[in-house]
Amino acid sequence: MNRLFVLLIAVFGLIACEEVVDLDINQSTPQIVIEGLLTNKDTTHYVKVSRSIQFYESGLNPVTDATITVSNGSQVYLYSHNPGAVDSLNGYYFSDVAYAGSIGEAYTLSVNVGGIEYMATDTLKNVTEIDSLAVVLAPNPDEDDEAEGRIYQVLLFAEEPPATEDFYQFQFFRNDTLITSTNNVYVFDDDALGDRLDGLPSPILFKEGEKAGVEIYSLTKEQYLFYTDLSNILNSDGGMFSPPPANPRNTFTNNALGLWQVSAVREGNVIIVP
Amino acid sequence: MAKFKWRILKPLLFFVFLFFYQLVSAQTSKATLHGYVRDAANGEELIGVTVYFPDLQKGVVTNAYGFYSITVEGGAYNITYSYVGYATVTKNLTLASTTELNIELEEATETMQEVVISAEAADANVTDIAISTEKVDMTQLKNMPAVFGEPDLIKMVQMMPGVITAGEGTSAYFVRGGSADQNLILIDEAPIYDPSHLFGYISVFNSDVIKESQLYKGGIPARYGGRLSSILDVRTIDGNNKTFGGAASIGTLASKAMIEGPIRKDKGSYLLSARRSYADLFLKIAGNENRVYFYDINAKVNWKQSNKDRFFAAGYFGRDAFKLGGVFGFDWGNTTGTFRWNHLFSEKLFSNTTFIASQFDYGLELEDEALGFRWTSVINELSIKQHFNWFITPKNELDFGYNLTYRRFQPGYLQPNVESSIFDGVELEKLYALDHALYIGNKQVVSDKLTMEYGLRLSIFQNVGPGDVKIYADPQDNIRPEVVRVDSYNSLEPIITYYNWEPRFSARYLLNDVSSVKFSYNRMAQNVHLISSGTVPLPFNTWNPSSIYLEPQLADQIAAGYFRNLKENAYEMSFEGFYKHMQHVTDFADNANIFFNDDIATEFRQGDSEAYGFEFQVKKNVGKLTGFINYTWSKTVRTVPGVNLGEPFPSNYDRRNAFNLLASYKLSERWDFTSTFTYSTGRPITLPTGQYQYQYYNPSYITERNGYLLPDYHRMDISAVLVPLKNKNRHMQTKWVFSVYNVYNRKNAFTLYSQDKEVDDQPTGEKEFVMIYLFPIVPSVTFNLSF
Repeated sequence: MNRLFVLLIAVFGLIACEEVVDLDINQSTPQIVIEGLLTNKDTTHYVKVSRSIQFYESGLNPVTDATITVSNGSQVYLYSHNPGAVDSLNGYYFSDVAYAGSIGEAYTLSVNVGGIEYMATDTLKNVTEIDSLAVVLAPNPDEDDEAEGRIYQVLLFAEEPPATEDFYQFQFFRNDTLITSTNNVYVFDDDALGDRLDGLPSPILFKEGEKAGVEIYSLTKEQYLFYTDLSNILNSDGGMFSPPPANPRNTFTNNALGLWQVSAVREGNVIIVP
Repeated sequence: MAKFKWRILKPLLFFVFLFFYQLVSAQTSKATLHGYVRDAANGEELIGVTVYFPDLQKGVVTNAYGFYSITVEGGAYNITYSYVGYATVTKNLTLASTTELNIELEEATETMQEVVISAEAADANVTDIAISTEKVDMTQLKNMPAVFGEPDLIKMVQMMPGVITAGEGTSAYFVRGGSADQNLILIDEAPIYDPSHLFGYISVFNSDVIKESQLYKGGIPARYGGRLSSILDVRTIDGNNKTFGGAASIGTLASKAMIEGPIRKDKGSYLLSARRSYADLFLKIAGNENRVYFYDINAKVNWKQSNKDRFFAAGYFGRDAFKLGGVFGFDWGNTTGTFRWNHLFSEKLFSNTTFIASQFDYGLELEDEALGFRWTSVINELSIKQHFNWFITPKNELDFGYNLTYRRFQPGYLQPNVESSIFDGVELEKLYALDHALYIGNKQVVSDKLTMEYGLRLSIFQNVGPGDVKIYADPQDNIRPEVVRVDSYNSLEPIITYYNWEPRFSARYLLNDVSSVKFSYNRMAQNVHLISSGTVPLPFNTWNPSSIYLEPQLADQIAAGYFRNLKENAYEMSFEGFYKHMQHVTDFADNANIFFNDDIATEFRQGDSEAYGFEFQVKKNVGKLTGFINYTWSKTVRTVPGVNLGEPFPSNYDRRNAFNLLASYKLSERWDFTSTFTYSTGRPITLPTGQYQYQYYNPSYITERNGYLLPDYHRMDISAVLVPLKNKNRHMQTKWVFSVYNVYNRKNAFTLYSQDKEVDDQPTGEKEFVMIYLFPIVPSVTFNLSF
């Protein structure tokens, strides 16, 4: 949204330009980054631990010697680093056993790196069932999509409990492949909704024969704020019209970056048939 | 309560005493000369004309309505009426009793310029008490180069000493360490909440209808209040009351037309002016789905019932509308109306009663079957101002009055615009405020050398009902705001009341004929707060009144200056230093959600700000070469608990050096050339120093607020004004303005941000900085016509 205004000014100017510039940026002290996801699915769950890197570097700077536990007060789940010793999974920790998070239960993630403990607690909230997915012609497909024949949009229908304050995250799949984006974050706040999610359109388009998948995750307010903050920093205009960019808020102690996400998840699929 | 009353009474008693003292000292039988000073060509009242008695070395200046009054011992006198740009008129009069004398001044032509140079008014820089006050030279403004050839008042204001800009393409300006919302912008006394058209490319002020504009940065008289850092007081012309006339111009960006004329000769006049952009027409021709336009209309009528009673009604209507891809639309606009009544209770007591209505609103709209909505936000203001101007003696001129303002803030109203929309209608709580201000100020000539102006303003601000006020367990908890209870208030029932005393003081001491020193102190209070955490306000920002969660912002400023004229007033020079301390400046928590937030109060963070600096100015007002050089060095630091971990940080507009030059050269009767040059230190910006991976995102890692500076900004523009020779012999006057913006095509950073580096639309995992710059070299032509 924020960068939109700068682009608008640029559009109106017709003559405004963008240019990549090299800047002499200070070195930053690497900061611990934790990405943990626990759902209500009975599976092995992961936690990814890394350190931030310098602005002009790339890649993951994994932490491989962390001690990780997840606890709900009565049970403690242990996680081990990259049990299959796969190179691409360095920095990933998996639960030693498969387990499912229970709705309404609070889970505490504790990550110990070099004697410093990073902790976060959040509650797993229920999520609404996807009633149905409908396929319609997209009203304004862009040129790239059109060229590939992707002209169909999926509409999502679901009940939305009006009494509770709910937040949702959506993930979209094309033929079971997660659609990723560098700067789009698909989260939703039920504040302005009625008691139904009627025809929420997918932001991505599909072509005939493709399998369209949608996952809906419950978020707590803290998790939702993390994602909106994340969207803000990914789309910041540098503080001209938008606020100065800031690190997303989370519930970790000791200023760790990232998020401990505990969510209920439901999914829906549809094969695109016009 | 008792304690409070005494606090009010004590300073009031002082003024009452002063008042009667003046009365007593003014009683001996004397003669009062009073009247209006007008432009001979069109009957416009002239503001700031010096009426001077050389024999007595006493004088007075016409007020904002062109009225003057001066009381002297009976006798025969020479009296001069002088005004920059006009031929001085000298009258010889024998004054025995009250005498009314309305004077018409003629605009100086080329050959008369020499006469003007020696006029008393030319040394106003030195002799006037005004410190930290800048007047806009309208001729300079109309001839100065401008992007798209549209001369713009705010762009001139942005070149003044003590004023900082956020960059080109914005109408925001920052005065002496104050943020953009701390400037009060008035058009015919009505406030303008957002002065931008096209997101700030140009401002709402149509230069054709501006009569006079002044920027007060310090030493602000008691009659002004409500914002911390500056007052931009713009007065529009009244319309020619002698003959019918008009003007039109065709520019690259917009065209405008204006007509004016007498309703009855010398008795009443009207003015109607309209301006509209036409970029949307080109877009339409080009088959582009985007629509962009703005317009504004200024209308005014005035009627002089008699020399005792005069009436004015003025209106401004302006609007911007954008529509992108036929789907996403937004619009905003200001509407103001002013009705004024000038009345002379006596030849010494001038009264102005003004009724003001002002509205600012914006809307955002998405046309979509599922996600369609329209969001509107409105702020309304109604006020009445009663102002008295009492010319007690030539040595004392008293201003006093009362203002009452009622404001209604509707921060947001979201409604579905199609039936199939998934949205429900939602409205944020409306807020109401009543604002009283009582003020009194006296300008006193203490001696030949010393003049003082002192005053006091009492601001009583009430956040009132109707409304429900949420009481939070922790008002700063913006994650999970916990409401302990909700208090309900009836219509006009006070929720909270804030009293603020605002003392004002200025003094001028003449060192000799050509130089003076001036000093000022003022306190200002501000009870409206812009809800914006960016550097530059957008039209889509809302305002909030002071409330239980927002304390009034306060500023204390001292300024001192040395003023000197050279070469018989051909050059005006000034050097000023200032120190400003601000309390409760409104800021926002990191990651604040200021967009449709029901618990916006939990995002407020207030703190202190400190600014200091010095300003240097040289002006040349006469001769073939005219212009100015302004230089400002300043520093602004904010300390806000809850922002930047409570550590001090440079404000977003903390630009150490700002240099502006304007030079105008009159080559001949036909050709005028103007060049401007501007340089300033880049503005502070928050840049990431690292990055990390989260899921498939690569967010930047921020370690320091405003820790970097954008590259230095500099730019040169030139313009040439051609007045064809054939104008001389005909009623119709034409003028061409050719201008080139950014002559040497400098790429000036508008903003800078980080993004994921992509190759063939695929992210590489690396990040990069992208600089946006707006205008390369832009030539433009404007054709002006007047009759």
